[in-house]
Amino acid sequence: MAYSFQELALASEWPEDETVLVFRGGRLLAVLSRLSDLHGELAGRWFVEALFRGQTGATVPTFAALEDFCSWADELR
Amino acid sequence: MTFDDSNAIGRFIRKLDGLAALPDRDKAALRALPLRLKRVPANHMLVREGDTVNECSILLDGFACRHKDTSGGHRQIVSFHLPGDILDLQHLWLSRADHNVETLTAGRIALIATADLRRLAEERPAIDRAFWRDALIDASIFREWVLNVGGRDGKSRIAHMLCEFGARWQAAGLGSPDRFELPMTQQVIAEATGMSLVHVNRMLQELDRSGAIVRDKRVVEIVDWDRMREIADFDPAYLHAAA
Repeated sequence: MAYSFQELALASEWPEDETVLVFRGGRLLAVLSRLSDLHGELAGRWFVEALFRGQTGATVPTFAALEDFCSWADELR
Repeated sequence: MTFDDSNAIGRFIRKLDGLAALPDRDKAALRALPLRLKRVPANHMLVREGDTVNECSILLDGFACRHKDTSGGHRQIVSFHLPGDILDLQHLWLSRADHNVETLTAGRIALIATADLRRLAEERPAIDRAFWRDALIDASIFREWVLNVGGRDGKSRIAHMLCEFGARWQAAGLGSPDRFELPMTQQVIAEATGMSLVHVNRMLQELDRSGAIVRDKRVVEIVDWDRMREIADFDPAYLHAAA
Protein backbone atom coordinates (compact mmCIF):
# COMPACT_ATOMS: atom_id res chain seq x y z
CA MET A 1 0.00 0.00 0.00
CA ALA A 2 1.28 3.50 -0.79
CA TYR A 3 2.86 5.68 1.89
CA SER A 4 2.63 9.46 1.87
CA PHE A 5 4.07 12.11 4.15
CA GLN A 6 3.04 15.50 5.42
CA GLU A 7 5.44 17.82 7.22
CA LEU A 8 4.29 19.71 10.28
CA ALA A 9 5.60 21.23 13.51
CA LEU A 10 4.92 19.75 16.95
CA ALA A 11 3.83 22.00 19.81
CA SER A 12 6.25 20.17 22.14
CA GLU A 13 9.11 21.73 24.12
CA TRP A 14 11.62 19.40 22.49
CA PRO A 15 14.00 20.74 19.90
CA GLU A 16 13.13 18.21 17.19
CA ASP A 17 12.21 20.59 14.39
CA GLU A 18 11.39 18.15 11.60
CA THR A 19 8.24 16.12 12.05
CA VAL A 20 6.09 14.23 9.56
CA LEU A 21 2.74 12.55 9.54
CA VAL A 22 2.99 9.20 7.79
CA PHE A 23 -0.10 8.01 5.94
CA ARG A 24 -0.66 4.54 4.52
CA GLY A 25 -3.45 4.16 2.02
CA GLY A 26 -4.63 7.64 2.96
CA ARG A 27 -4.96 6.80 6.67
CA LEU A 28 -2.72 8.19 9.42
CA LEU A 29 -0.27 5.49 10.53
CA ALA A 30 2.38 7.34 12.56
CA VAL A 31 3.99 10.59 13.65
CA LEU A 32 7.77 10.65 13.26
CA SER A 33 10.35 13.22 14.39
CA ARG A 34 13.93 13.61 13.27
CA LEU A 35 16.07 13.64 16.40
CA SER A 36 18.17 16.72 17.16
CA ASP A 37 21.82 16.82 18.21
CA LEU A 38 20.76 16.52 21.85
CA HIS A 39 20.28 12.80 21.29
CA GLY A 40 23.94 11.99 20.73
CA GLU A 41 24.47 9.02 18.46
CA LEU A 42 20.76 8.87 17.64
CA ALA A 43 20.83 12.42 16.19
CA GLY A 44 19.43 12.54 12.67
CA ARG A 45 17.43 9.32 13.05
CA TRP A 46 13.65 9.16 12.86
CA PHE A 47 11.85 8.51 16.13
CA VAL A 48 8.29 7.18 16.26
CA GLU A 49 6.37 9.69 18.41
CA ALA A 50 3.07 7.92 17.90
CA LEU A 51 1.98 4.79 16.08
CA PHE A 52 -1.57 3.80 15.34
CA ARG A 53 -0.97 0.21 14.36
CA GLY A 54 0.75 -2.57 16.32
CA GLN A 55 2.81 -1.95 19.41
CA THR A 56 4.01 1.41 20.64
CA GLY A 57 6.54 2.36 23.27
CA ALA A 58 10.04 1.43 24.23
CA THR A 59 10.41 -1.53 21.88
CA VAL A 60 9.90 0.48 18.66
CA PRO A 61 13.28 1.19 16.99
CA THR A 62 14.52 4.43 15.44
CA PHE A 63 15.15 4.62 11.70
CA ALA A 64 17.90 6.09 9.51
CA ALA A 65 15.43 7.05 6.75
CA LEU A 66 11.67 7.31 6.26
CA GLU A 67 11.89 4.45 3.75
CA ASP A 68 13.31 2.23 6.48
CA PHE A 69 10.32 3.05 8.67
CA CYS A 70 7.99 2.11 5.79
CA SER A 71 9.72 -1.25 5.32
CA TRP A 72 9.42 -1.92 9.04
CA ALA A 73 5.77 -0.78 9.04
CA ASP A 74 4.97 -3.21 6.19
CA GLU A 75 5.22 -5.92 8.85
CA LEU A 76 2.47 -4.22 10.88
CA ARG A 77 -0.26 -4.97 8.35
CA MET B 1 36.69 -21.34 50.16
CA THR B 2 36.19 -19.57 53.43
CA PHE B 3 36.99 -15.92 53.12
CA ASP B 4 39.18 -14.70 55.93
CA ASP B 5 38.21 -11.01 55.93
CA SER B 6 35.60 -10.95 58.67
CA ASN B 7 34.49 -7.51 57.58
CA ALA B 8 33.66 -8.45 53.97
CA ILE B 9 29.94 -8.41 54.63
CA GLY B 10 30.14 -5.59 57.18
CA ARG B 11 27.86 -3.30 55.17
CA PHE B 12 25.28 -6.08 54.85
CA ILE B 13 25.41 -6.78 58.60
CA ARG B 14 24.98 -3.05 59.32
CA LYS B 15 21.96 -3.04 57.07
CA LEU B 16 20.40 -6.03 58.86
CA ASP B 17 21.22 -4.40 62.20
CA GLY B 18 19.35 -1.30 61.05
CA LEU B 19 16.37 -3.48 60.19
CA ALA B 20 16.14 -5.47 63.41
CA ALA B 21 18.75 -4.47 66.04
CA LEU B 22 20.88 -7.61 66.01
CA PRO B 23 22.52 -8.78 69.25
CA ASP B 24 26.32 -8.98 69.05
CA ARG B 25 26.22 -12.77 69.04
CA ASP B 26 24.02 -12.71 65.91
CA LYS B 27 26.44 -10.36 64.16
CA ALA B 28 29.27 -12.72 65.09
CA ALA B 29 27.29 -15.67 63.71
CA LEU B 30 26.82 -13.83 60.42
CA ARG B 31 30.52 -12.95 60.26
CA ALA B 32 31.41 -16.60 60.89
CA LEU B 33 29.43 -17.89 57.91
CA PRO B 34 31.48 -19.57 55.20
CA LEU B 35 31.32 -17.45 52.09
CA ARG B 36 32.80 -17.28 48.63
CA LEU B 37 34.02 -13.93 47.39
CA LYS B 38 33.80 -13.27 43.69
CA ARG B 39 34.76 -10.38 41.45
CA VAL B 40 32.17 -9.84 38.75
CA PRO B 41 32.31 -7.76 35.58
CA ALA B 42 29.61 -5.32 34.45
CA ASN B 43 26.53 -6.79 32.78
CA HIS B 44 27.19 -10.19 34.30
CA MET B 45 24.22 -12.46 34.93
CA LEU B 46 24.36 -13.60 38.56
CA VAL B 47 21.06 -15.49 38.43
CA ARG B 48 18.99 -16.54 35.43
CA GLU B 49 15.27 -17.15 35.55
CA GLY B 50 14.74 -20.90 35.89
CA ASP B 51 18.05 -21.55 37.69
CA THR B 52 18.07 -23.66 40.82
CA VAL B 53 19.85 -21.48 43.35
CA ASN B 54 21.74 -22.81 46.37
CA GLU B 55 23.63 -19.64 47.28
CA CYS B 56 22.44 -16.11 47.96
CA SER B 57 24.41 -13.18 46.53
CA ILE B 58 25.31 -10.21 48.68
CA LEU B 59 26.51 -7.17 46.77
CA LEU B 60 29.71 -5.84 48.37
CA ASP B 61 30.79 -3.28 45.77
CA GLY B 62 29.18 -2.09 42.57
CA PHE B 63 25.58 -1.98 41.40
CA ALA B 64 23.09 -4.55 40.12
CA CYS B 65 19.53 -4.88 38.96
CA ARG B 66 16.79 -7.47 38.81
CA HIS B 67 14.83 -7.93 35.62
CA LYS B 68 12.25 -10.04 33.86
CA ASP B 69 12.25 -10.52 30.10
CA THR B 70 9.38 -11.13 27.70
CA SER B 71 9.59 -14.10 25.34
CA GLY B 72 10.30 -11.51 22.61
CA GLY B 73 13.41 -10.31 24.44
CA HIS B 74 12.14 -7.04 25.94
CA ARG B 75 13.80 -6.44 29.29
CA GLN B 76 11.90 -4.85 32.17
CA ILE B 77 14.14 -3.88 35.07
CA VAL B 78 12.22 -4.21 38.33
CA SER B 79 14.75 -2.92 40.86
CA PHE B 80 18.21 -1.46 41.31
CA HIS B 81 20.62 -2.65 44.00
CA LEU B 82 23.38 -0.93 45.91
CA PRO B 83 26.31 -2.18 48.00
CA GLY B 84 25.13 -4.03 51.12
CA ASP B 85 21.98 -5.37 49.44
CA ILE B 86 21.22 -9.07 49.40
CA LEU B 87 20.19 -9.67 45.81
CA ASP B 88 18.04 -12.76 46.11
CA LEU B 89 16.86 -13.39 49.63
CA GLN B 90 13.82 -15.22 48.23
CA HIS B 91 16.11 -18.17 47.44
CA LEU B 92 16.17 -19.02 51.13
CA TRP B 93 12.74 -20.50 50.63
CA LEU B 94 12.19 -20.61 46.85
CA SER B 95 14.99 -22.46 45.12
CA ARG B 96 13.88 -21.78 41.54
CA ALA B 97 14.74 -18.29 40.28
CA ASP B 98 11.67 -16.48 38.94
CA HIS B 99 13.64 -13.54 37.53
CA ASN B 100 17.15 -12.51 36.52
CA VAL B 101 19.79 -10.76 38.59
CA GLU B 102 22.52 -8.92 36.68
CA THR B 103 25.34 -6.53 37.54
CA LEU B 104 25.23 -3.01 36.15
CA THR B 105 28.87 -2.31 36.96
CA ALA B 106 31.92 -4.34 37.85
CA GLY B 107 31.96 -5.22 41.53
CA ARG B 108 32.34 -7.89 44.18
CA ILE B 109 29.79 -10.26 45.62
CA ALA B 110 29.78 -12.66 48.54
CA LEU B 111 28.01 -15.96 48.01
CA ILE B 112 26.57 -17.67 51.07
CA ALA B 113 24.85 -21.06 51.05
CA THR B 114 21.09 -20.69 51.36
CA ALA B 115 21.10 -23.59 53.83
CA ASP B 116 23.44 -21.64 56.14
CA LEU B 117 21.30 -18.49 56.01
CA ARG B 118 18.15 -20.54 56.54
CA ARG B 119 19.67 -22.18 59.61
CA LEU B 120 20.60 -18.78 61.08
CA ALA B 121 17.09 -17.49 60.41
CA GLU B 122 15.58 -20.51 62.16
CA GLU B 123 17.90 -20.33 65.15
CA ARG B 124 18.07 -16.56 65.66
CA PRO B 125 14.84 -14.55 65.84
CA ALA B 126 16.48 -11.14 65.28
CA ILE B 127 18.11 -12.35 62.04
CA ASP B 128 14.80 -13.86 60.98
CA ARG B 129 13.07 -10.51 61.63
CA ALA B 130 15.73 -8.63 59.67
CA PHE B 131 15.33 -10.99 56.69
CA TRP B 132 11.55 -10.61 56.84
CA ARG B 133 11.78 -6.84 56.96
CA ASP B 134 14.29 -6.78 54.09
CA ALA B 135 12.01 -8.93 51.92
CA LEU B 136 8.94 -6.88 52.82
CA ILE B 137 10.70 -3.61 52.01
CA ASP B 138 11.81 -5.11 48.68
CA ALA B 139 8.14 -5.88 48.00
CA SER B 140 7.17 -2.33 48.95
CA ILE B 141 9.72 -0.98 46.47
CA PHE B 142 8.37 -3.28 43.75
CA ARG B 143 4.85 -1.95 44.42
CA GLU B 144 6.10 1.61 44.13
CA TRP B 145 7.78 0.74 40.82
CA VAL B 146 4.54 -0.70 39.43
CA LEU B 147 2.86 2.59 40.32
CA ASN B 148 5.76 4.52 38.82
CA VAL B 149 5.69 2.71 35.48
CA GLY B 150 1.92 2.40 35.25
CA GLY B 151 0.70 5.59 36.86
CA ARG B 152 3.14 8.49 36.46
CA ASP B 153 4.01 10.57 33.43
CA GLY B 154 7.48 10.44 31.93
CA LYS B 155 9.05 13.33 33.80
CA SER B 156 7.69 12.10 37.16
CA ARG B 157 8.92 8.56 36.48
CA ILE B 158 12.48 9.68 35.89
CA ALA B 159 12.38 12.14 38.79
CA HIS B 160 11.03 9.43 41.09
CA MET B 161 13.76 7.03 40.07
CA LEU B 162 16.38 9.70 40.84
CA CYS B 163 14.83 10.57 44.22
CA GLU B 164 14.75 6.91 45.22
CA PHE B 165 18.31 6.37 44.07
CA GLY B 166 19.49 9.38 46.09
CA ALA B 167 17.66 8.20 49.21
CA ARG B 168 19.04 4.68 48.91
CA TRP B 169 22.52 6.00 48.10
CA GLN B 170 22.47 7.76 51.46
CA ALA B 171 20.94 4.78 53.30
CA ALA B 172 23.70 2.54 51.93
CA GLY B 173 26.29 4.89 53.42
CA LEU B 174 27.62 5.98 50.02
CA GLY B 175 27.25 9.70 50.64
CA SER B 176 24.86 12.62 50.42
CA PRO B 177 21.52 12.09 48.64
CA ASP B 178 22.08 15.46 46.95
CA ARG B 179 24.82 14.30 44.62
CA PHE B 180 25.52 10.85 43.23
CA GLU B 181 26.90 9.13 40.17
CA LEU B 182 24.36 7.03 38.33
CA PRO B 183 25.80 3.61 37.62
CA MET B 184 23.54 3.05 34.64
CA THR B 185 23.15 4.19 31.05
CA GLN B 186 20.07 6.00 29.76
CA GLN B 187 19.14 2.72 28.04
CA VAL B 188 19.02 1.04 31.46
CA ILE B 189 16.89 3.89 32.82
CA ALA B 190 14.58 3.35 29.85
CA GLU B 191 14.26 -0.33 30.72
CA ALA B 192 13.50 0.53 34.35
CA THR B 193 10.86 3.12 33.56
CA GLY B 194 9.17 1.54 30.55
CA MET B 195 10.08 4.48 28.31
CA SER B 196 11.97 4.84 25.06
CA LEU B 197 15.60 5.96 25.16
CA VAL B 198 14.55 9.14 23.35
CA HIS B 199 11.94 9.98 25.99
CA VAL B 200 14.38 9.33 28.83
CA ASN B 201 16.81 11.80 27.26
CA ARG B 202 14.04 14.38 26.76
CA MET B 203 12.78 14.01 30.34
CA LEU B 204 16.28 14.33 31.82
CA GLN B 205 16.72 17.52 29.83
CA GLU B 206 13.37 18.82 31.04
CA LEU B 207 14.43 18.14 34.64
CA ASP B 208 17.67 20.03 33.89
CA ARG B 209 15.73 22.96 32.48
CA SER B 210 13.32 23.03 35.41
CA GLY B 211 16.27 23.76 37.70
CA ALA B 212 15.56 20.74 39.93
CA ILE B 213 18.76 18.90 38.96
CA VAL B 214 22.14 19.63 37.42
CA ARG B 215 23.83 16.88 35.45
CA ASP B 216 27.41 16.36 34.43
CA LYS B 217 27.51 13.17 32.40
CA ARG B 218 26.28 10.55 34.89
CA VAL B 219 26.73 12.69 38.00
CA VAL B 220 23.39 14.01 39.17
CA GLU B 221 23.02 16.83 41.66
CA ILE B 222 19.56 17.36 43.09
CA VAL B 223 19.69 21.09 43.71
CA ASP B 224 16.04 21.58 44.64
CA TRP B 225 14.66 18.63 46.62
CA ASP B 226 11.29 20.29 47.24
CA ARG B 227 10.80 20.77 43.52
CA MET B 228 12.00 17.23 42.77
CA ARG B 229 9.68 15.69 45.38
CA GLU B 230 6.81 17.59 43.83
CA ILE B 231 7.66 16.60 40.25
CA ALA B 232 8.34 13.00 41.27
CA ASP B 233 5.35 12.56 43.58
CA PHE B 234 8.04 11.13 45.90
CA ASP B 235 7.17 10.15 49.47
CA PRO B 236 10.00 8.04 50.91
CA ALA B 237 7.66 6.29 53.41
CA TYR B 238 7.61 3.18 51.18
CA LEU B 239 11.37 2.76 51.79
CA HIS B 240 10.62 2.35 55.52
CA ALA B 241 13.76 4.39 56.30
CA ALA B 242 15.92 1.34 55.86
CA ALA B 243 16.41 0.45 52.22
